[in-house]
Amino acid sequence: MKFLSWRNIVYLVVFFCCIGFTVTQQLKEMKKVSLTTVFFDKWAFSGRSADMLKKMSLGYDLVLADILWLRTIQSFGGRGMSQRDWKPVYYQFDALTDIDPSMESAYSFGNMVIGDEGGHQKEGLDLINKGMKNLPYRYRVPFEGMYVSNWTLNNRDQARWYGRVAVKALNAPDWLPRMVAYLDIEAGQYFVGVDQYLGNFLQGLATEQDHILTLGLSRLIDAIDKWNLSVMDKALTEFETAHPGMEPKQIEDLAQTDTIKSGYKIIDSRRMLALVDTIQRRLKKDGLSADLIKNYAIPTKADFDWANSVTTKSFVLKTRLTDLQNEIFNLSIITKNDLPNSPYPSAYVWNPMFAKPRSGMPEQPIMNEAKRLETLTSMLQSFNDEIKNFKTRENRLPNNLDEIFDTKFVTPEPYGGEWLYDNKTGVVKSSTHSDLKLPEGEPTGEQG
Amino acid sequence: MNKVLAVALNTFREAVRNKILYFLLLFSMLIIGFSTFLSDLSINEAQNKLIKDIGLSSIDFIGFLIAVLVGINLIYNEIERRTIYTIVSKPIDRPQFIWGKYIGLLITVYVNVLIMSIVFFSVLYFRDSTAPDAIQKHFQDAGETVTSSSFAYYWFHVKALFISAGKGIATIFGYSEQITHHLMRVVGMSMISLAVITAFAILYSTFATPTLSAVYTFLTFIIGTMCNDIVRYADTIAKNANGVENLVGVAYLKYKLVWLGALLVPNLELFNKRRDAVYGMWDVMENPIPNVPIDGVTIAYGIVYAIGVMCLACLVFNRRNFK
Repeated sequence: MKFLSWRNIVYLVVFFCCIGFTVTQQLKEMKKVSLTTVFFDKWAFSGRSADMLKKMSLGYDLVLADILWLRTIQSFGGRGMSQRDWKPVYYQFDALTDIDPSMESAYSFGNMVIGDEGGHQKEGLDLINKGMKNLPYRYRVPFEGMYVSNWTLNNRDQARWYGRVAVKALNAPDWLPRMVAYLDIEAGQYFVGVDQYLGNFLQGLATEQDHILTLGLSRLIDAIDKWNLSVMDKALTEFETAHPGMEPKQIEDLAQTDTIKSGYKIIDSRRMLALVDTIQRRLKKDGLSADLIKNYAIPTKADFDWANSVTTKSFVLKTRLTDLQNEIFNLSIITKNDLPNSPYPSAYVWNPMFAKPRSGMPEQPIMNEAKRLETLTSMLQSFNDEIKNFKTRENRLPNNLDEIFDTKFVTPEPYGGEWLYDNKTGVVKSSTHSDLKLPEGEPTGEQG
Repeated sequence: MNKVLAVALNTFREAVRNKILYFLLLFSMLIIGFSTFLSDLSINEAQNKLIKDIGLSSIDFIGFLIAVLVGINLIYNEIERRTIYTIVSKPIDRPQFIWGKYIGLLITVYVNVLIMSIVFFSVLYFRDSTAPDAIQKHFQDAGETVTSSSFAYYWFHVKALFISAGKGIATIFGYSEQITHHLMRVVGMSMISLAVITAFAILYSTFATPTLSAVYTFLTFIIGTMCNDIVRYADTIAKNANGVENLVGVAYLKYKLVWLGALLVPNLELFNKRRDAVYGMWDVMENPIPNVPIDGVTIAYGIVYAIGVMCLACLVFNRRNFK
């Protein structure tokens, strides 16, 4: 067969056509490769770089990462971190995450092993930071950073930063904004925290998810309450500085402090609820149900009139949810120069137990009347449950309250009264609220 | 075409008699089966990832080994046993013979890949259906209380095994569940990669001994998987000289040669979709299932590249002197 036969020529032509096509295609691919980030070489694992290991894996890098992952788990599981040098395990995680940068478990588990278990939180957070760079759309890694920063390192500002990143992730769960808002509130960043809770509440409203709606509103009101209390705490500090050794006889005494008199910005919960309700109705949706807001300060007619006057129909219909959130937040801020209004149905009261030896529950100088009653109810319930357990265990009623707690009973009554215990019936009552009904009932002499 | 098919079927029959094929198949099934035990050593969501990684990589690599170890001997044996004389003396062209050999080998490789895939999918389904939560739900729905030593418990596992095998077979025909979502796409892309590698195995076996052919094919595989690194190497040369325009002399020549090499070698990394199978972008946020995107151009690149290499193999074989 001659080499230059027509058939060979056809093969030659097809060959060059094919190669021409593949070369053109490859040219495009090469441009793409040049645009992507270079895999940086660095010290990683047993003297070999992760980059080299990755090249040696010939495209089976995920299997290599899995083997290293198993080895790291076993290596940690075998002896833990306390009996060993933490560095080899850290480098294993570092190499592992170089080879497989998308392995979320390696970052979170690595942080747990190196940080929580090994006590090297900084290096644990290094892994977290690397994970955040490699997995920008996932919430889990920054969430772990938030957890470690707040609950292990006690660095609330850093925790808030991680939390803020986690909340922006595509797969962030609905509870995460509430957790981040909690950190904001705990850090005293009330503007930010209340705004976060408001966003979560509005999200529940827009998506009609009852659990987000209920929880979001509950946390929102609680945050406003804490904000109010922080203002009054500041006023109390000022009062104590101005009157050394004295305490206010009543909460109204604080109104004379500069903190309150000179004016301060705060959220009015009634106005906020009235605004949300009005906007909902303008959007032809159901307003806030009476059941949803029954435990909070209900907006008055004046609040609804005000809400109607500040929201226009066209604005509400044209605006996005985030813009509405900003609008609601800004309009709900008021400047006050008297004591803040409680977001709950009951008013703020001075806690008479504040100055007494604080071995028991209420330690806040100012509290909400409803919350104080709630505290009293839960304490009475707890005592009576303990008496019930004692009766079951000993087949008799305790002679006094000291007997059920094994030590001298010193828990103060939240209203400044006394605990009244009847050892014949086994019932504990409060001297200030003797008729208070407990949700789960009281023990009787016949019980048990 | 009939002649090509006749050679292809004959090649397939010949290849399936090769004992090494069964050893490789058995080995791959052991690896895939073993991966489920291995994954128990892992934690959290990394368990399923581990099975997928090992399973898909085994299918790809064992497929490659089959293509190399079976392919390198196909042409050589014909020449060595002098059976090539009886073939070329018949009314069949040399290119038809080469194409027949290639298609026969490809069928062999693909049949094995599909068998391995069925085992792999079955393992995934079985593991999914016998997870503690799934078992608990099954017996709760049935209103039964069972212990791990009761007959119903074993019977459930036996049934799950057969159902998983059935689903495994159905998966290669398009059926999928959350756990096997788009995995057949990954296998499909591996099959295209194997078509390119098989073409190279045939090309080398037209002019080299089996050992050399195996070495050449393996080197081609290595170069193909490191194609992106060649591009990066070329970029490094240019970067060291502060840009391509500043390259002169040997450095310029080196840059051009490396660039040309990167253009010509098969970019096998394009067909590696195993990362997408575990980390691919999700279809739905509420139900995150990795998505494996494939594009027609990549498929065309593989097919056209394989055809190109086969044309070269035909050219070389046409010039081969059997004296």
